[in-house]
Amino acid sequence: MRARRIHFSFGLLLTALSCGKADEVVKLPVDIELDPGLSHSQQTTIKEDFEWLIDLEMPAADAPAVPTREQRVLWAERQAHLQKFQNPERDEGKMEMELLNTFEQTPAVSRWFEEIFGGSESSDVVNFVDDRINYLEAPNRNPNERLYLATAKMNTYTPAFNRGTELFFTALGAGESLRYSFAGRFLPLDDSRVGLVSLGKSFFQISHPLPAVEHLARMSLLVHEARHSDCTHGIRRSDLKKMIMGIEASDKTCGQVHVVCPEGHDYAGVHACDASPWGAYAVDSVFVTRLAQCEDCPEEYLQAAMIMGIDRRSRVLVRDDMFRGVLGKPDMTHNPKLIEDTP
Amino acid sequence: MTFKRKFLLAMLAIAGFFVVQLAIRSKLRHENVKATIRAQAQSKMVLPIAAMAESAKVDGQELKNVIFVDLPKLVDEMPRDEKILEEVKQSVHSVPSSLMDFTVLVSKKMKQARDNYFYAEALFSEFDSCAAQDDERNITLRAYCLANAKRLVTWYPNLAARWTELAERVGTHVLELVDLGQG
Repeated sequence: MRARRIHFSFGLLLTALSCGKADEVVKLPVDIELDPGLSHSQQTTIKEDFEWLIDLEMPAADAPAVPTREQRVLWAERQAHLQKFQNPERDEGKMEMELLNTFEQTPAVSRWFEEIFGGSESSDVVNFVDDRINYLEAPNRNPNERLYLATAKMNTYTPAFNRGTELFFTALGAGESLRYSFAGRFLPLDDSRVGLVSLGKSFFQISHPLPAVEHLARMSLLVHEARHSDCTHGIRRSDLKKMIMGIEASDKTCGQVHVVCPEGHDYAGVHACDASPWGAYAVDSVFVTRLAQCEDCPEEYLQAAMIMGIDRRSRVLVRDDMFRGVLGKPDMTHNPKLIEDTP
Repeated sequence: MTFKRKFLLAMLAIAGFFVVQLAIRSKLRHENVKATIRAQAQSKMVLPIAAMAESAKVDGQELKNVIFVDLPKLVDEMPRDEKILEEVKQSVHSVPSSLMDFTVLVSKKMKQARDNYFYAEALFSEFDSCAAQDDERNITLRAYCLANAKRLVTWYPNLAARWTELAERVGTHVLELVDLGQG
């Protein structure tokens, strides 16, 4: 009898322990709600990513880049050539000289970082993500694992996508007050900053010999997805219709939607480029580049951050003028309004 | 304890002492070599390998043995463009895994280059071959090699002229990717 009781108690203890583990929701250091469908280890991974970023000591601010005379001349030549199409009557040589005089120093990465994240600390990135992501959804059963607006069919496997923004467009197009069921509640979809990000399985499969690289890679994905929550200039009804029909919108800043990379690009034909300035790839690029400006960081970390930064920059089609400041400062405002087209 | 056993223990202790001494000397010599190379790198003056060996009190062959670890050539390990594109198609938002894998090899080489100008010089040629591939090749990969060549110049200013020549050869479209808009 005693032996049976002990056996029974041990069983109860085991059950309690295992249930406790499964039901235990990991508390994040940010105001983001985790899907109960995420396993304990997945929740811990996300928690550790944020803790890593919060504790990260930022490298010293860099100085603006001083271009060489040759670089300035090349830039002026190219700009003058482009402007010639708009003003065919103007003298290209004269324009070139004027442009050469207007050439300013390229702003430092740290300046763009401050413009985007509203400060120079890693906690500013955490706040940036926290403002734009409110819910993290478990790797789901739906194969459409990404923000995808331009074409109807989607069959790629992505580590994360901003489902909230996609559903915001759906709700806006339907003209209905739609809700999304998350952790037993119904989330309103009347704002692209509903902040619902779905994580793919590959988010948790990111692997590198150096744990800091894994943290950096996952956080850069969250920074990228956070930017998709911004609807900078509102959305025109004509653009909304286009997106629902699978056509590229004229103004892509609501949701910072990607475009198909053009002919001649390494990723030509893939929906992996940004045509408007300061979109998700640009923001992501500034984030990883700034975090890699440390001379005493492990070499593996620097190398990984370098390739991440270059890969992201290569996807920004207007990168040259954008980083030079010609296209203006990053507009981080949010205006999720439907704008009626004027006849 | 018998005398024979005591004698054996004593001999073992003496042998152990000499082994430790040898290890310490070898380590010191290794450090000496590294220190000499760092010093010459900081002085921005390249010494011939024989002079370096003389300065470090080791012979030239040993200098090479101490520092160089055989690693595959970068051009042989560069991921194929088709593979990179396939990975982007599969996982649009991620940095292609073959590019990430390539950084592991480059990290190893850069670590060795940091301690050895001669290694850095050879590695610069490898980055040159990678960055100066024709325009059909993946631009991210080429810019990444160019960025690393530029880092070598910050460690060894002697390489500056080679970098300028390389940067001109690869063109602004690759150069502008190296740093934010500095092309």
